[in-house]
Amino acid sequence: MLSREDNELLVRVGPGTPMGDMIRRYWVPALLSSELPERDGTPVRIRLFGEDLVAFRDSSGAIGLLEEKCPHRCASLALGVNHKNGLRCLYHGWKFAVDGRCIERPTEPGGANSGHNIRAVAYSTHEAGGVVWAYLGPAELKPEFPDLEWLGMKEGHSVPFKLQEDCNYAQCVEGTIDTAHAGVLHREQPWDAPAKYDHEKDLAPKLEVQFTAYGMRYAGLRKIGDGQQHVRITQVLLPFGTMIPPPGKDAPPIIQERRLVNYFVPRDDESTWHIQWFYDTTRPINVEHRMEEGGIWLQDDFRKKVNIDVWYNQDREWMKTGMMSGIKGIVTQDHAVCETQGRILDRTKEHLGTSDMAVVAWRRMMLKAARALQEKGEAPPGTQGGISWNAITSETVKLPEENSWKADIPGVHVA
Amino acid sequence: MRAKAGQSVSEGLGPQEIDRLHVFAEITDQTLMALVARIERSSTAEHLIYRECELDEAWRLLDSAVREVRSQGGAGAAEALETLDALRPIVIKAHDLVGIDGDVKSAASELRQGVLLARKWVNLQKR
Ligand code: FES
Ligand SMILES: [Fe+2]
Repeated sequence: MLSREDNELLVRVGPGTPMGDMIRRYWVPALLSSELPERDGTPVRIRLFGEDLVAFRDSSGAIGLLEEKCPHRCASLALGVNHKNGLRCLYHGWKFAVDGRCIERPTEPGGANSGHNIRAVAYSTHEAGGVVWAYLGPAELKPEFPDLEWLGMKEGHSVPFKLQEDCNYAQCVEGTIDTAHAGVLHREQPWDAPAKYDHEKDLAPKLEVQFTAYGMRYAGLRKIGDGQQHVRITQVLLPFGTMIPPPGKDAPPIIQERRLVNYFVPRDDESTWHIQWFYDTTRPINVEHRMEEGGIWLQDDFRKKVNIDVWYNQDREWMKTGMMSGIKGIVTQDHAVCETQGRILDRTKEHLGTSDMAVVAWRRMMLKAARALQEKGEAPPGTQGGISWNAITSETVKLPEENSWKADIPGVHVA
Repeated sequence: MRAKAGQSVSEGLGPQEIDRLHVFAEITDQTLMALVARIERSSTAEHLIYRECELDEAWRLLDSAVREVRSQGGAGAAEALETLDALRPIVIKAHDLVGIDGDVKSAASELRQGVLLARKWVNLQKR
């Protein structure tokens, strides 16, 4: 349960809001590199944190991310001509470089390239892991770019996916740090049929949390007999990244060592870019298999073809005979439950259980960071440098029951 | 043995015990006193999260008790509802003192004010 004020603080991320200011202090994934495949190619309109922007790759390969509206008289720069190291507005031909400088004004006397300091709002970008990352905060406070473990991998071993989720980012994050739902929502047989996997047999794992300098990690602990416990350690990177552990030795070989990272980047207050990477040091990611497994069937604008309008094509017969959800694809299942919470979840109406502990912990971290920035000007966790990003990883292990996961799998930057 | 209201139940509550969630199934004076003791002993950020979850659970149990009393009605319903309604803001306040302010001292003394109400609720159920 959150108070009304806290819920508002958590979900509103537009310019000038306390949470909006907080999340703008981080590098965030913005769009796929493949959306800007060629130099001087078609610009892409993209909404981030409630701001309408245009992304383009210039003649040198550099990527610009500008406010979509031209500073002259506000036509969309996405209509413009992308050539010779800049984006030229279609209306009066003003031309902008990737850093936002206006480098030509052909409709002014003499072309008037100098003697003015017109600039388009421009944000920093950085390409890594097949994704264009962006920094939307104050330029002088830009943090170092995080060298996260899935960003520098061998070709094909780390693959990004992107889709739109039609609800507020916070409920999307909460859906991936909710270990308990795996054995219910994603159950691969009807409710009454005997469970297949460990996580379907024991639906109430014990949760333990540990805060870190970049966010937190938490473990879902399940007793599996023979004095052993099954331990799944999830990492949460502020503000909205989650690193999900691999399925482990009991799963089919193709996914045993496959890790997942999710970023839930607010598109605006009511929709979210769900950007995920699958990565595996032992084998390349099978993209076809993943699209099918996830149910990632998309329109050109990254919205799901199987969405709330068709009630996720839920199949009531299949629910009785095959799949508990009656919904094809893990991602579609996840989106279905989050999107049907409403565009913006009213957390004053919830009744939390003990399995929601990680959700409670993430909310508190977010609220605390936003307040600390607003009231004391404190930089959010992980934005001040000195983090060994590359050492942060998720883990699935078996340990003797009496052992402590915190001691056996030591984390980094633990308080 | 049932502890008396106000009596400390925190003896024997080791660091291991407060570093995890306490599981309880009903609202009684004893459960509230156990929660008070746990709140008092809490110091780390992790402790606060566990305490907030325990208070979320207490609120959930209260809310379902209210629904049940309302749907069943009967002779004692008015008094039971009055008791539960008095208890709810106390639990919510303690929840917010832990979650928002991290103020365990105020949260514990707030929740302690609910112990007698919880005992009254227990007794009303026996009738
Ligand atoms: S509106 Fe863009 S150049 Fe005039
Ligand atoms: Fe899920």
